[in-house]
Amino acid sequence: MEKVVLVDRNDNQIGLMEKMEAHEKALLHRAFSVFIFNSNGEMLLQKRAVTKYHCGGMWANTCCSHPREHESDLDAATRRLKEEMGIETPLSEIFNFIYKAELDKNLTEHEFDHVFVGYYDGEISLNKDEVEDYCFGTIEEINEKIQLNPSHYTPWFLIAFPRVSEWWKSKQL
Amino acid sequence: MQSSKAIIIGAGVAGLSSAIRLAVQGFEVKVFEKNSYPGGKLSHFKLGDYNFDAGPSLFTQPQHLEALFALANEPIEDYFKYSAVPISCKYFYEDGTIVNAFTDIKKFTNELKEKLQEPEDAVVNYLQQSENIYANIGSVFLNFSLHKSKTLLNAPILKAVKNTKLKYLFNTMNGLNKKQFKNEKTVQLFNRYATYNGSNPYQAPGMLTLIPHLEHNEGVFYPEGGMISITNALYQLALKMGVQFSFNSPVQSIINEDKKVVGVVVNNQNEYANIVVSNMDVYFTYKHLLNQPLMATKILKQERSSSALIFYWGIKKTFPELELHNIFFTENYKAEFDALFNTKKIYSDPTVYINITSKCALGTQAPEGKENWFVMVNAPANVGQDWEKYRVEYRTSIIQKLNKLLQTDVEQFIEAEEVLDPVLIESKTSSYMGSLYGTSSNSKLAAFFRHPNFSKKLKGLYFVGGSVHPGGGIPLCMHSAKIMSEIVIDDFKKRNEK
Repeated sequence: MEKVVLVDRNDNQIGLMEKMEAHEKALLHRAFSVFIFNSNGEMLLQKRAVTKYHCGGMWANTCCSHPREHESDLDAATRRLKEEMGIETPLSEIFNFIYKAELDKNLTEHEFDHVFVGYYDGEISLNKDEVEDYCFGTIEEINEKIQLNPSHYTPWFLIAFPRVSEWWKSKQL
Repeated sequence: MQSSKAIIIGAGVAGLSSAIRLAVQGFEVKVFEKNSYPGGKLSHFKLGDYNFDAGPSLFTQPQHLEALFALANEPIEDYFKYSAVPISCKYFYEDGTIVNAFTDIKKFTNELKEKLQEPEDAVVNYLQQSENIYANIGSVFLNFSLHKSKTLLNAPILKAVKNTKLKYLFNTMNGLNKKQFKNEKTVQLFNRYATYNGSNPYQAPGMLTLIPHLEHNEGVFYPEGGMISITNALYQLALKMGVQFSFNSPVQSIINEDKKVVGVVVNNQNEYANIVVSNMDVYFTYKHLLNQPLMATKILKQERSSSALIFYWGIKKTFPELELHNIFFTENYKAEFDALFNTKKIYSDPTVYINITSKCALGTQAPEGKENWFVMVNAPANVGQDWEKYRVEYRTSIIQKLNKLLQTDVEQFIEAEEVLDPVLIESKTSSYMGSLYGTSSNSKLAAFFRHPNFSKKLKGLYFVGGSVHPGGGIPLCMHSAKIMSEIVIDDFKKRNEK
């Protein structure tokens, strides 16, 4: 099984732990979330495969995962984006935040989350083991859908989305 | 180098000059500009039947423009015409004294002798010194990067420093001028040159006394069609060189990988290039495009140059007593600069500058029998003052002053009006705090603290324009493009050698 990097509240590494165990014990670990936009300014969402260890079948941002030990957040984000969505594009970190959220299956997500943004218009090829579907939507459209069916979206996405929306709006001159 | 791509952020004078130079060097150049027009601060607008140059109004050193066209091997006369102006500026003092600054040195010294009882020798020597400083240290500073060890070894900088007497570094501009001239009015006249890069003559080093050289020895010129003709000529030349422009296209971020810049995000798309040149204010480049607020904060530690409040007035009358450039001096210059840089408040008796391009182009810049007045007062950089209130107060002070010195009632002749304040300057041109000339030159070492024309941390990222080395104003912006393009040539040589 994969290991995640346990960190303190300043993102300093304090240990390693098997992924499942960290989520069972709700220990703070390093993670990243990628938000991809197309040239129409629409955000790309993924629907998680039902077989995922948590939050199967729910909608979330383009891609998220955990860096390996000694792997930079950027390298990890670039790697996973290609593995899950078949997307290769430059990413840049826009902010990071700590959050804790109860998940299904008695798991808890407690992450120091690095948020990356990238822009992409090309082909998308889903890794069906990870991702069931994808869709594009403007910030406003997604916001409306969230209001209608919050339970269709993963907890971390519900926390990160308003912040990314705010960042996005500040960028539109 | 044939297939190398360059992206330029911003189509200001420095961005346009950079585009031309890099195109000549063989780059495929794309320029992204947030506004719908090129030129940045050097733009133009119409107000009824009146034409106005929005910003810079003084044209000196046409040789920089000539050099660009020569470089591109295009005949400048097909794009741009200009002629010398006989009076560089007409000065009005509070006590009614009027001085014409003739560009002809003989006439000018006579005028200062007659009106201000200034000995001819004092003026001639002063202008000679001004030329010496320009030739010795000015040219080194303007033509080379101060941030490359190569410059410090190769450029004649040691010689330049040796030839520059210490008084030019350690005395203030006002200090030097006071020693040179008897009459306080002459001192004021020459102190005004500090405002050419938004600085304070009571703090700025004596080195800035090189500025009068440009006007009094090299001359003042008027571009046919107004200042906008400079922008138009550069834009047309850039197009001719194959530069591609995208307007209404604000760059959203600069993309970098492994400490190397690989392109930008614009219109929500990645645009890749080998080099990126930012003509945007360096503060906003770091803050918004590189997401490096810490670096931006570091840049903030340098004092910003002053800003301005500009009234564009369509005047339904002609004033034969006015020239192309006119100055109505404040009684107390020191107090005005204190307000500009220290208290950063409005000053009740501001020095008023009026530029009237219809003087040089009868019937085109303004209708027959009318004049287009570009009325400017120096204003403090924007730190959140109440500009609504300041506008009204400044307008009243300006009108009172003009009425007194011109024996008229100006307000009744204003038939069209537009205003530009520091907040608008910032939002239109992304100039931090509305500063017109980037950072100020008030510190002795300001020249060395300006951001270099390249990034030390990110390969392939370069900076041009008023907020970086060598500073603000049209000639300096064009110099920044030249220095940048030479650094690029060097950097590519090194890359190819590896």
